[in-house]
Amino acid sequence: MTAHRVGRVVSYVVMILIGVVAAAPFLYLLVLSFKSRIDILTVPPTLHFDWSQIKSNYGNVVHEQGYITYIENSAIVTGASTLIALALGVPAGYAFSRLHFRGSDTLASTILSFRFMPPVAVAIPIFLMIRYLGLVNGYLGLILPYVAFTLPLVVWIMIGFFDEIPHEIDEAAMVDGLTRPWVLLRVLLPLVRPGILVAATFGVIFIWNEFLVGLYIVNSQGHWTIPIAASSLLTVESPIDWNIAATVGILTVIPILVFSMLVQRYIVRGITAGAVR
Amino acid sequence: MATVSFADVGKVYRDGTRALSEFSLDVADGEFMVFVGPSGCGKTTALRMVAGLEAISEGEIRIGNTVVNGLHPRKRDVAMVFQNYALYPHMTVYKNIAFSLKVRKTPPDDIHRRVEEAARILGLQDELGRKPAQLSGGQRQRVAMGRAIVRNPQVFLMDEPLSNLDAKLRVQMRAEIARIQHELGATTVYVTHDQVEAMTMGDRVAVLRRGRLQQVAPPQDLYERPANLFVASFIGSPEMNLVEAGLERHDGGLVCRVAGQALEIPAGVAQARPGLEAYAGKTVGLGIRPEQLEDASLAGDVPAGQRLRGKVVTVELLGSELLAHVELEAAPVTTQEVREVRADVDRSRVADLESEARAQRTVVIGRFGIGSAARPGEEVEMHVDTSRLYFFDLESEDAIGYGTRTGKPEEVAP
Repeated sequence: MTAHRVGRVVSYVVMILIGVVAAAPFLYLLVLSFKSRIDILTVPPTLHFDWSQIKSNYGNVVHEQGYITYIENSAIVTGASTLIALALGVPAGYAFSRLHFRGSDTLASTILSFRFMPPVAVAIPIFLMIRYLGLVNGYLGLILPYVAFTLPLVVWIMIGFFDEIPHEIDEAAMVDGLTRPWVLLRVLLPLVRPGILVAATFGVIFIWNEFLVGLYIVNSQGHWTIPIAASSLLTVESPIDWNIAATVGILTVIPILVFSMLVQRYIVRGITAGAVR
Repeated sequence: MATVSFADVGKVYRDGTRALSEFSLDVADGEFMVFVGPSGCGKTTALRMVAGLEAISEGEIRIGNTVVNGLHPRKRDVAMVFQNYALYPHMTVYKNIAFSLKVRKTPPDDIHRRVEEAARILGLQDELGRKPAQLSGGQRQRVAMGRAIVRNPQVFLMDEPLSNLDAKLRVQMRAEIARIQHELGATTVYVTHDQVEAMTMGDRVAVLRRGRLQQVAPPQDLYERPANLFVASFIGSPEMNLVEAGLERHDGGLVCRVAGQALEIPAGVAQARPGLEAYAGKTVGLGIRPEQLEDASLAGDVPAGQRLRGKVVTVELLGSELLAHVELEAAPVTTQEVREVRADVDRSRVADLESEARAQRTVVIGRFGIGSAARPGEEVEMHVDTSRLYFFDLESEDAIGYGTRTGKPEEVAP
């Protein structure tokens, strides 16, 4: 065996190990979600699966516990918040990248610093504001703070992507007959699509998993998002059904996993190649 | 097509930097006007102000009869070719060229016809379906041209469009752009820092320095009658030899004393430069183009008043001719304008100039016939074509006798 092949084998072994470490908790969760309550205490878990048990676990979560509603709530809140954050953040990123107005750099870094604030620090004031607006127990009450949390990140990711596009492209488009807003819409948006998708991915993952602010704002069960619903499994009255908790976990992860995989295919860099020189 | 006129145009950036001052110039309908000058001279700023990409701080720019100062670029009906081409990377060549027409809601049939026509002129028919990333540098340059010509605009603006191409392709595209411009009869403003491009392409050339217009003239006039030391040393390759010389009256005529030798100034030359007489007894800047220097042994019978002796330093054999670098015992002209032109090439050339000045030696370049026996280390006798000497005032740096700095007659040298 040549040194080259040894190197290949070693690198494959390392990659497989990393893959196993990364995937193991998720696989364990998946296996647990297929088990009955008694079986989950077996370590290591057996790979003997019972179809009726699987059906009962998932049926229980989806129908009896009403997870369809929670997934729907999460999807609405996540989708709307992300879209609004993008609609505001993409033009803002463009403006910060191109129009150097007085104090624009300071403003841009100030916006980012808002993102450093941990939710714990702001959850109570946000709750009070939302309550004052009468938006508690509604989608809008969740969407507003989530947009505020996501926006700085979107703006910053977009500034980076816009900065990579030469200014001459904008200028050429303006000489060709477009005004600034149309330059953004017709020429630049296709070029920063990877950036938009990166920003959307970060936003979706953050909002989908957000728990603390949601916990303050939403009390009525009908508006629970998945993280809040999942936490309700922990009650003082009854012991935890780990198999049911695992099923909830799987149902929480799957939508976000599907989204990430779909988006990933479009996040390709180097789309601006050939613009200049 | 239309005229472009600048009236006392100035540009001051927000940080207070001044890029252009009192710039006045009229570009005629269908004219190919070249703006040339070292980097930072304001040529690109002037161009971008016509395009509407840079606000006009002072004065007025007109395209045709319209003052365009406050107009958005899209309303000026100009097309621009950028230095880095600025093609839309996600669009095919066809879409790149068609884009401005589409934006202007041209009927699709019309778009198709005009894009095909532009592609034919530029030889891009086979590339229409490709994206910019798949094209060579020369092809991208053509697409950028295509994007401009398809519009049939009032004015073409080109910002160093050839500077990213390699030397051979540049020569070819130079001819091609000149041909297309001629074919379309389009008013064109072309910015370059390459004086060869300026000389070969322009109907007229405007030389800028530090935001000020130095001279506007057809290339040959610029070459033969530079208004000042800046234009004289900027235009021409190899550049004009400039040495300090004492002007003296002798036998009713004028002679020029260089390196202890006397060059007789023909009566005709003195007459054509009124005001030269007044410099008798003073030191002036003497300009001699390389082609005015020839190996005296090849020139036949050369009168004493047309000879200069010096020591050959280097010889460059170019096949058809020979460039001889000859050291004269005379101080070089080291005024600010000459330094700037040198510095634009490379800062080391200013240091060379200073060491020459300290040693009171100047290396001049002569274009000798290929039969010349001049070799490094040997003395050589040169024949100077005294009918085309250039004289400059070392204080004002202006040419003596003719030429103006900004076209305003009161600024003519005494």
